Amino acid sequence: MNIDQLMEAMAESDPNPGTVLDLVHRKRRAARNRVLYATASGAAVLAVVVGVVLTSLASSTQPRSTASSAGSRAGSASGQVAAPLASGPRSAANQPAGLLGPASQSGTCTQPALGSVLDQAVGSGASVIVGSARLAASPAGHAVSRGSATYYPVTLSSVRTLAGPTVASGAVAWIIGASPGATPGPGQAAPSPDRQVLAIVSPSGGSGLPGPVLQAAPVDHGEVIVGGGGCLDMVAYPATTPAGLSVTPGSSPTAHPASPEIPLAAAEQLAARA
Amino acid sequence: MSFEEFVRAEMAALARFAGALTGDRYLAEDMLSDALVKVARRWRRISAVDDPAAYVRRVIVTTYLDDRRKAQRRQTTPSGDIEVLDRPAPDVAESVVDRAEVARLLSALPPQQKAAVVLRYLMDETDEQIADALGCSTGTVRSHLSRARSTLRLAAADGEGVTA
Repeated sequence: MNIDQLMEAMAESDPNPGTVLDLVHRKRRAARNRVLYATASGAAVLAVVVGVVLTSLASSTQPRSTASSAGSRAGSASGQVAAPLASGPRSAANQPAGLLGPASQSGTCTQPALGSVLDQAVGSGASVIVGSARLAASPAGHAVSRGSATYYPVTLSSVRTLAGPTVASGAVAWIIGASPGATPGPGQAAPSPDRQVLAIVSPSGGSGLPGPVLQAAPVDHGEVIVGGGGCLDMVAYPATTPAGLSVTPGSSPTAHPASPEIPLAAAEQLAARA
Repeated sequence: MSFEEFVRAEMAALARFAGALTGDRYLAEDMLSDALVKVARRWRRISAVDDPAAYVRRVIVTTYLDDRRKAQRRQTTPSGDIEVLDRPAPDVAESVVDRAEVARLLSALPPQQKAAVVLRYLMDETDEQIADALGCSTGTVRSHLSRARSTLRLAAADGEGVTA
């Protein structure tokens, strides 16, 4: 073999420069794409990781924020009710009438909610008060019958008028109760010492009674005893039979085991809004 | 000088160099493009050296040697036809002038020897330059060239053609 043959042999396999350039462009483009894909993949993975971290952080702080926001929502929904809502089985009952709306809407209430009752009462010229009520010493001797219902005089003292026309201490109102001579049932009128009540004092109007009519719910340890299901169980005048809370003086809260309560402060605020 | 300008100016020489190394047009295209992609990535630094073309040839040689090393690892030898070992080898003396035989002898060279031959006879590089390109000593270069000449029946001194 001589050099010429060697040179000739070595020159036989010259690649096409154009093909080489094309390959170079393609490979460089592919390399750029790989870098882009790697960067995009890295960014995606980073975004997922950040998302997971943020989600876990958010979920770890959720209970606190949810509780606080729920509290604020409850406060605003109740019309600036300052009293904190009780927890547990009594929570629904402890909500003021405005918060009892859901219960009413769900059909569990057979009586209007407290807020509605107070609104309606004030709208019709009645007063909403907090005070002490005492039945007359001999209620049977002062009873007045109207239809099948019997009313007894109640003397109001330490009256605080929350809404409507002012009611003076010492005023006498008439409350529906058991028939004379009968044993008063739970929540029915019976002689008793003074008892704090949240009450609606309505003008006698066409009832034929000598004085205003009283619908009252007892207040026990700062809690207004209301009806079951979280609904107000005040019987609208002139209801035929007082049920549960319609007549309270003398009745013991223990006589109404199913009767839930709402804070008096919440009820007062509802009354002030009425 | 940009990478594109360099490639345009040197492509013909680089293509011939890659073809001589591989002995296969398509393999040369693939190997040369791989080497140029590497060069493009480092072009700012390469363009600052005294002889960018020599540096690029070194990259080509490195790429070629890496490629051959990988190819050898992938290579499998069929063992089913064991009688092939008993067949007589072709008479080299009779066909040495044949172009195909020259190509066969070239392709039979180990990669380092072949690279040394190409750099010496095609690119006319010195032992030192070849040593730099191959990453070995000049003595090793001389050894590679001596063995390659023996295989190719190149009895002459550098630059002289002598029929074996």
